Amino acid sequence: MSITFKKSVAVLADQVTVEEAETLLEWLVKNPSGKVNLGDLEHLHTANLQVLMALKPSVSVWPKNTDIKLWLEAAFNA
Amino acid sequence: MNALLQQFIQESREALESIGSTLLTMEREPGNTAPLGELFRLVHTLKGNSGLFDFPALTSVLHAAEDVMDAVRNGELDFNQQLADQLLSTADYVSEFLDEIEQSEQPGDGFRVPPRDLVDGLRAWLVKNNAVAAIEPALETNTEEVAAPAWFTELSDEVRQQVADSLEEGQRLYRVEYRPASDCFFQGTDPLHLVRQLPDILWRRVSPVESWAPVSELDAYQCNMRIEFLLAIQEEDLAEHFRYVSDQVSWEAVTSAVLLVPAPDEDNRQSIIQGSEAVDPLVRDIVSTQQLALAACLAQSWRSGQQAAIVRTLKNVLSAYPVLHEALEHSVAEADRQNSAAPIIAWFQTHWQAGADQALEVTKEGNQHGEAVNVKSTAQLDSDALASAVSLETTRAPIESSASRRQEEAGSHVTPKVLKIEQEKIDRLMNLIGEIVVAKNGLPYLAERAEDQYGQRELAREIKAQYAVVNRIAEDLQDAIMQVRMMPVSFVLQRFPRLVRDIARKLGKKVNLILEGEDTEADKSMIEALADPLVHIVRNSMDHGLELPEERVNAGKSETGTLRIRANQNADHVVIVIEDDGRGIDPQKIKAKVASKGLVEQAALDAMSDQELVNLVFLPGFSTAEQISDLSGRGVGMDVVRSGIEKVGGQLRLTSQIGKGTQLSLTLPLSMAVTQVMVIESGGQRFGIPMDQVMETVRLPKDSIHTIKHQPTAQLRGRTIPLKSLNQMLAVSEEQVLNEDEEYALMVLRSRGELVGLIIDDFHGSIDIILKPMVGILGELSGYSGTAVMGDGSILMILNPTELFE
Repeated sequence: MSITFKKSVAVLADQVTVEEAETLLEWLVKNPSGKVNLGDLEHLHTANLQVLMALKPSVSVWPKNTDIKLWLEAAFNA
Repeated sequence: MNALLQQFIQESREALESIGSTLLTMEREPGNTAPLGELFRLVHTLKGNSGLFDFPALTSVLHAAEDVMDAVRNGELDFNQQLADQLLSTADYVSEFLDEIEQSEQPGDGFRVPPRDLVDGLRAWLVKNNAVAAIEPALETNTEEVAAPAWFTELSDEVRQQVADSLEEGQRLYRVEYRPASDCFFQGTDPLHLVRQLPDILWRRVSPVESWAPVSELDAYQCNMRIEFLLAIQEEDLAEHFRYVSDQVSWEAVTSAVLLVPAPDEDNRQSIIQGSEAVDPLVRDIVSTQQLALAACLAQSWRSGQQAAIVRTLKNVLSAYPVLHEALEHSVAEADRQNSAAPIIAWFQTHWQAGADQALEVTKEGNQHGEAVNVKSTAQLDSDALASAVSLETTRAPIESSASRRQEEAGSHVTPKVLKIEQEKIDRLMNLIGEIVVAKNGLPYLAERAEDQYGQRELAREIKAQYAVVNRIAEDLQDAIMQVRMMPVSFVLQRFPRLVRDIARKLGKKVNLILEGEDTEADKSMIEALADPLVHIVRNSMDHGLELPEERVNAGKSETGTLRIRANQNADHVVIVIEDDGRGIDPQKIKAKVASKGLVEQAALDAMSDQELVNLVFLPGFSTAEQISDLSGRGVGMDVVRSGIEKVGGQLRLTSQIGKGTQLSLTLPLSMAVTQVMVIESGGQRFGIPMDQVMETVRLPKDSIHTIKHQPTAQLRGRTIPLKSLNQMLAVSEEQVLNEDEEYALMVLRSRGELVGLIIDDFHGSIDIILKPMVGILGELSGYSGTAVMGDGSILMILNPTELFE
């Protein structure tokens, strides 16, 4: 699992796969005020991106990887 | 392959042929503007048809060609040779495209992107002509250049600067929109991953296609995304990158135009209506038909089979119009969400009603005028129909009237009595008829047996009477099937104007090609067998026969050489003569060449007449051209041409006069199916010899045979004829049989223009047979052209005297 769910923060790191989108969605539904930490994220499958776009959790840490950061910003600002 | 596509390919091929020949006519007669309208119509129809399928590359090429033709037709552009070249290469591209989809049903890698040089080349003609460029619609294809689109206004100044810089550096920029299919996650696609592989993205935006469903209903695995970005890339690479999802991606080139024009503030709808104004009348027609169809199936629940088909047709037809297409996609998505066709109806009303009302003003030409009025009235009918769409009864009337009008229109310009049949089916029919012919030949034997063996004279007579009836029907059948297989020689000749033109330009020669008797008919297989040898002969004439203009003038001839291909029917043969007025064949040169190559002994060469020397060009391994050019002389010599013609039972004659020209005449049987043979006997076996080679049959007294230089000969009507014994040639050890008057049975045959006497044992009259070529190991035997089944069930070997005498 590249997602670690803490008390109020989901930490997404490395490569987040398509299978994890469902879990991420469930967690965000259960924790409406939950935040996401994307600091060590390299890539996330589009299904996860979609979940983040739909539920718009606040991002506690933006990715260090600039390319994925650009894409995430483009998605969050839309 | 689906039938529609198949028909599209077939019709397009026919259109291409007409386009080719019309272009050449126009080039030959520059002042003649009559074919222009026809040419425009052909290109226009081709383009319209291509829109029914998802072939954006094809459509955009044809569209460019259509615009050029339109300009020529309106006198805004002069027709000249360069333009003809350009249009011909466009035709070549279309032809390659058709080959491609015929093979794989889908355009392959090389055919997804419109060939930019071709399209630009065509468009360049229009740009030279500003008046036309102004009419040029801006929103036609997905690679069209767009002026200051809405997305551009969203770019930050920084990105705009980057865009400007890149364009200045001459980079190609594309704005790409990728809308992954909603089930794409299940197909293992990760759209974000796919786009992240692309380099140098200047700007990007990721947005939902539809607004997100409430949290409780959200499905993480239902893709609802639109990814847009701007990048510098080669178009081919872009197409390659998205080749597996090509139907979900569209892009457009970004040009400096977007930087100059300030972003428009009009609402989106206005631009869509402007876009629809530029829509092809044919597309417009299709759309209004779909509108009617949708009105008729409103009562069905959303996305019934019929509705899905309508949506599919609309999407395909509008794929070349990105703005309209996008609007349609939106409405379809909305319709899916609402589970009703209403958004699509609304789409029709917003984007097409307005467009249709303006159709009259937009249409420019006379002959399209009628079409536009027609569309307008249909569109008005639709709006009435839609206003009361709830009641099906009211909509039905206009639908029917428009449908019947459509039928009448179709009836007036389609020839309904022509049936297209695959050749295989005809061949099967012919084989079956052949079998009937053979089977019926068994009846006379049966009658004979009834009489001789069982003494049933009465029965024998009845069988014979029946035979006469069956025989007559069988002959009629044979005749009828031959008629079906007959094709005009023009089928092969029509390629020559283009071929001759291209070769002449390549060689810098001036050639006037004259075709005569193109409507002479012959069996399809004959005509097909003729194609390759003819091309070779024509190339040879152009390359070696006809001289360069200066050389011709020096020789006191007109600058332009004449190449004449004449076809006519002579009894049961088709004769095709290829004639040029070039330098002719020099027998002495041939002699020297053959001697230097050591193909024939010097003594034999010295004894040859000029005509015999000329015929040496048919020797295998002979090539007179000093330099091997890329046209003829690729090691495939005239010997191959001759054997090709002889294989189908034809003959070849070459005559030439130095300085005056060369004449080659091909004689081919009308049909290969039924062959008349003379049945002969030799060494206790029966053989057949093709009747068209038999000159005469005589009884030759034994003592009139004289041996000259080890060769038995006989004097016949003042001519000395070499004699051959069939038994000897077939390595049968028996002597030929003499009759009671000490005479041999002699058959005089013509082989390659020479008379040869063949001594056999006896003659048995002539019969019609169906010649079956031998297959397998036997097929490699020379000396035989095949076998035939006789009426009594026995097999007759058919000799090929020409091969035998070699």
